[in-house]
Amino acid sequence: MNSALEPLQPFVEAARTGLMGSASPVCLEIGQWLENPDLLQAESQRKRLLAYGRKMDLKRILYASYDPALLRPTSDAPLGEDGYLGLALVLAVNAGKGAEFGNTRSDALQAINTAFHCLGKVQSASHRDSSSRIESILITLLSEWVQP
Amino acid sequence: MRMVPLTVLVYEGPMARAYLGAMRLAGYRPEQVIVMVQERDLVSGKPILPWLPTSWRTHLAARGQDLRMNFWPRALYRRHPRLVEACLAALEAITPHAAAFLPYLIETSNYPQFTDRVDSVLVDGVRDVRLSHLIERSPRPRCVLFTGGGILPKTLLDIEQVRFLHVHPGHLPEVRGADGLLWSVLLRGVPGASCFYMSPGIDEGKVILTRDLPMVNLPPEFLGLSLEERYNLLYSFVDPIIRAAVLLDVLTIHSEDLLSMPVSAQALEAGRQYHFLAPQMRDIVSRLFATLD
Repeated sequence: MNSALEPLQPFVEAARTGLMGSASPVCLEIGQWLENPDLLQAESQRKRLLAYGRKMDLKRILYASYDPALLRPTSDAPLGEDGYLGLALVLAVNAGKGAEFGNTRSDALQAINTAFHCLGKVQSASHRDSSSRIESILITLLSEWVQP
Repeated sequence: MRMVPLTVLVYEGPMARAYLGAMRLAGYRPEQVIVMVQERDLVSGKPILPWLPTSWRTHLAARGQDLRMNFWPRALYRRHPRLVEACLAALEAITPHAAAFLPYLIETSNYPQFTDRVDSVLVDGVRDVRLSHLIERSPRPRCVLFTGGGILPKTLLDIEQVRFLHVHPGHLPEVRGADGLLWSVLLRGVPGASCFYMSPGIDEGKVILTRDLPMVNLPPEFLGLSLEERYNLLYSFVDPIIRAAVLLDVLTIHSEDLLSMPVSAQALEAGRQYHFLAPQMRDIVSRLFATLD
């Protein structure tokens, strides 16, 4: 993990532990990305992350499970706050990896924007502190990308 | 005044006001204005005064729409008149008459000042057949300037001898989608705008003119506004005036024949569709308008 991402590490580990025991396939997938971010170097995995991100950008909601092509939800249950927090972390890690993961500047900025939308879904008292600390780290990460 | 073979399809708000004001200031008079009056309340979705006769409903709904859709330009000017005037002065870097746009953006609707023919139609969104029927009954062939956001349905795009024109606040094909003004400044360091013939995809039509524009340097007092005010100031004044400036560029070159202007197909892979910025991003990017040179 590069230096800009180091402050995220404790949150990544906590989120991964929580997600890996989840019954939600989406949470499990997010947990796997947190456990092994290098998975996102594969085009197929990047496409899946982008698909979740696009759903979040457009609808501001994700569900606990989807069909294999991620076209339709197969569950009425919305993703829990752990899932949104985990997805924000995956997007942040992916953005922070920059060119190493094949990300352009616009990829990174879009990922950070989606991560903020994910954090907007995290409202409970039990997650509020983590969410606001991750938000601060994201703002620092963003500042590296803002100036053209 | 010079008549232009153009119908302006008004979705009430700063964008339509800026286009019409810009044309008037530049001496252009569109042949027709069609005002879409939404028959449902924009927030609750409930029909507005459904028991009234159509003409009364249209009049009252149009008044309510004017108040709601132009709330922010009026509120910002009432709260911060000198700051708004300074922002308009800063926009003169992009268009020389920016300060003169103010009355068009804040006064009560008065469409006859812009055209000889105003048609108001009560609609339930752009898919409403009353709108497509009105355009079909209007003079054709015709170029129609769409002043709303998003996409138009096939029922409108397929009307024979009609082409829809749109101005998007971003350099195409690179910056498509929502919050184009802010994404442009974030990604390219300057605002941009593009005029194109509309197609079914979002901002994917053939491009008539695309421009990067000079950065708008708003006064430092802009940074003292709340995020809500900063964002709404950008979308009340900066975004509409930037779009209007590019529309005027197009009219200056092509006002005789708006239906067959030279175009370029977009290399869509050179850009992407962006989505609305999260509040944290809006906060950071809006500040660039008072800090970037």
